[in-house]
Amino acid sequence: MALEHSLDLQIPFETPQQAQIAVKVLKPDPILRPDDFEVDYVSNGSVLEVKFRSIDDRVLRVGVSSVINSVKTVVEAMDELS
Amino acid sequence: MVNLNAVAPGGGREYYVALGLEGSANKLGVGVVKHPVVGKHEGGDFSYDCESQILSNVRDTYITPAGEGFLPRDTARHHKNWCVRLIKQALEEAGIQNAAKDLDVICFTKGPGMGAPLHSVVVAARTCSLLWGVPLVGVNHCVGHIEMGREITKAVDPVVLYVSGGNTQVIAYSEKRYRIFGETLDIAIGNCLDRFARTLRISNYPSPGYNIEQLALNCKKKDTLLELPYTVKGMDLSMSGILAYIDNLAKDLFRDNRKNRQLFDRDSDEAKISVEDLCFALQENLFAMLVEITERAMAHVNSNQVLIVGGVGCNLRLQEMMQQMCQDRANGQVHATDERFCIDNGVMIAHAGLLQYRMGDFVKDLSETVVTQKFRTDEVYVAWRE
Amino acid sequence: MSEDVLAKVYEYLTPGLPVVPIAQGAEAVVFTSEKHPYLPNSGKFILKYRPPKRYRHPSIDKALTKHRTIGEARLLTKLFLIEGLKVPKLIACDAYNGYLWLEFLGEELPHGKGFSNLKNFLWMYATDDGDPYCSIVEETLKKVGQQIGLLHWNGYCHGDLTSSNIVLSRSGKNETSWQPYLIDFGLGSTTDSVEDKGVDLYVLERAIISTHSAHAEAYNEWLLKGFSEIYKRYGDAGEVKLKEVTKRFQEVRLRGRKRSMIG
Repeated sequence: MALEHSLDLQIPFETPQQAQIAVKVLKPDPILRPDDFEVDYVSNGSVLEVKFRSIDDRVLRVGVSSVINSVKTVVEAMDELS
Repeated sequence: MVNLNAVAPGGGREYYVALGLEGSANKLGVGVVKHPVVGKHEGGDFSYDCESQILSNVRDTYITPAGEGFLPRDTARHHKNWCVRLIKQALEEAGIQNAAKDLDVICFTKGPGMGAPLHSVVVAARTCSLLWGVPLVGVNHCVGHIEMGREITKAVDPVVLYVSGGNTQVIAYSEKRYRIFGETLDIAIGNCLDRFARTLRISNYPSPGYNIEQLALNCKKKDTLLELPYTVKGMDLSMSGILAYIDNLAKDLFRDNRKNRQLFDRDSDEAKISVEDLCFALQENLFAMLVEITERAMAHVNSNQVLIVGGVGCNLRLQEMMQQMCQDRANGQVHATDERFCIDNGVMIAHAGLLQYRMGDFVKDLSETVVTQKFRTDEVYVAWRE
Repeated sequence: MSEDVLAKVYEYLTPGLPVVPIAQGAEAVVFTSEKHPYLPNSGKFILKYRPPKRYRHPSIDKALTKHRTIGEARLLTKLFLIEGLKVPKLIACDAYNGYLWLEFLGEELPHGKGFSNLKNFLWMYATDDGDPYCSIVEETLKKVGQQIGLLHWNGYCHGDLTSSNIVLSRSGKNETSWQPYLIDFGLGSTTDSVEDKGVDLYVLERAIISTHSAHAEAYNEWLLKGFSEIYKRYGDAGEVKLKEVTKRFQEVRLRGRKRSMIG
């Protein structure tokens, strides 16, 4: 079944290094249901680009929400602990 | 002969420093530990005496209202909210001003535990590692408890009883592995106590188990004991039966079910048994079972030392019963730690992780940092012991 | 052995009855005796005593002592009647006080290797000049498997199958063929439950892995072979039951490995 629902996010960081770190932190975790949901992380300059593809909008929402939560932790760590 | 000094500390230091992050259940703990470089660690078997110094130990527990247990999603949210704050606090208390230079390794709980909470913590761990250029080490939660217990109590080679909300195991070290000799066949003892606490609707603060312990202490009729199913099966034990039984009794008590002759006097219709009596009976039975399977393991490996680790290890009655058994068994000894270390904490992860790191184990690729709900204690290769 | 326990035993027995303490297990202490209070021409006996355990509440303690002593006595009498099954003969029982008189089995292994239980037997072959995989070990382990097969097929489970609870006996000091006996049925029971049998097998497998780690794989294979042999003697019905038990055994194994652990 085609992953017809999609969402692209661009999250600006302060430097390209930060965006690269974000990619490395988010990438390792395996997707629970790879048939229903796909996510790709790429750093483009200082921007973290996340591309979500999903089988329906509910799965998409849940996936996006989860990734954003993780990004929050990354950003907070960068703010407080650099 | 094991050489714990094979990997030198960074920054030209004469000591190692590790940051530990723990979040496998509802406790989020961050700790910083220091190991001095000591000559005797070059050869021999001294991993139980690292002369560790605890530079900081901070923890925040996600406590749910009475009658409720903690769920993964809410727990994960709690950890996400507190993680960076606690890391900052721990570093400050430890006097770490430049993490990149002052830390040798960042240790995190790889498992076992609840998936989402574990994940919340590892995201922070990875970020810090990349920000500071400090390597990562994934630690088995149970091994963390064991190594911290050994270091604090200096017990050289005890049989370990690991009892917590999620685990009930009797462990003995043999040939580079912590081997599981006995364990629960269904639920963990902490889980059993927590669930009964929910049935009783008692407070989860500071922890449900602690409140059951206090109620049991207040039992007025310690001479007569309510009869409960006793379910030791060889070296293992089962607890779901006793929980179901006592849950039913409690419910009957609350519902005033006068037909239940165990609870209500036939003639006067008065309650013969109080909540305190139930707690007392539950503890006496559960702990007797634990002590029995521990004694079996001790007989099997010929040991007379016991180390109790894990949250339920804080319970003084359990410690007392275990001490009595050990004494009667060729004058043995019980070792236990206090609530700073019994209960999940970051320091134990830092300490065990640092032992791993000193033996050359650290993450080479971030794909190794994926957390895992199931992670058996005997899967870990214990390089730091002979 | 604790002074208190010894004192209690001497107090209980007929004065002057000689008993020699030989082992202290987790639950019971074991003595040998050359004399028995009322049997005329004695021989050698085992006196198994379950002393009170001070750590547990007295009502739990009394109930357990009585229950386990009686349970063991009852089981032994039934098992003794099963063709091919080797268990010690029950001589006398005092359940309230926790005493059992049993037939003495086993011997001292050569070169001071200890008492002839399976644990010491395997350790004997695992040291220096022994061959842990020799045919004697294989044959003996298969026989042990057969004993367990017989036990399970007849509707019983042991409840505490470790290599210390299997005693090896032979007909003469120079014999190389050992006959295994199952002992210590304190946690045994009658059962039709596949679960109990699976757990029995799992407990033994884990005990072998824990104390004889280096050779555990082969040892457990031989045990299972002997076990299966018994079930296979009963044709299709046997095969079906064997499959059920082995399947449950795998499940119990996996359960141990996959149990989720939190906290």
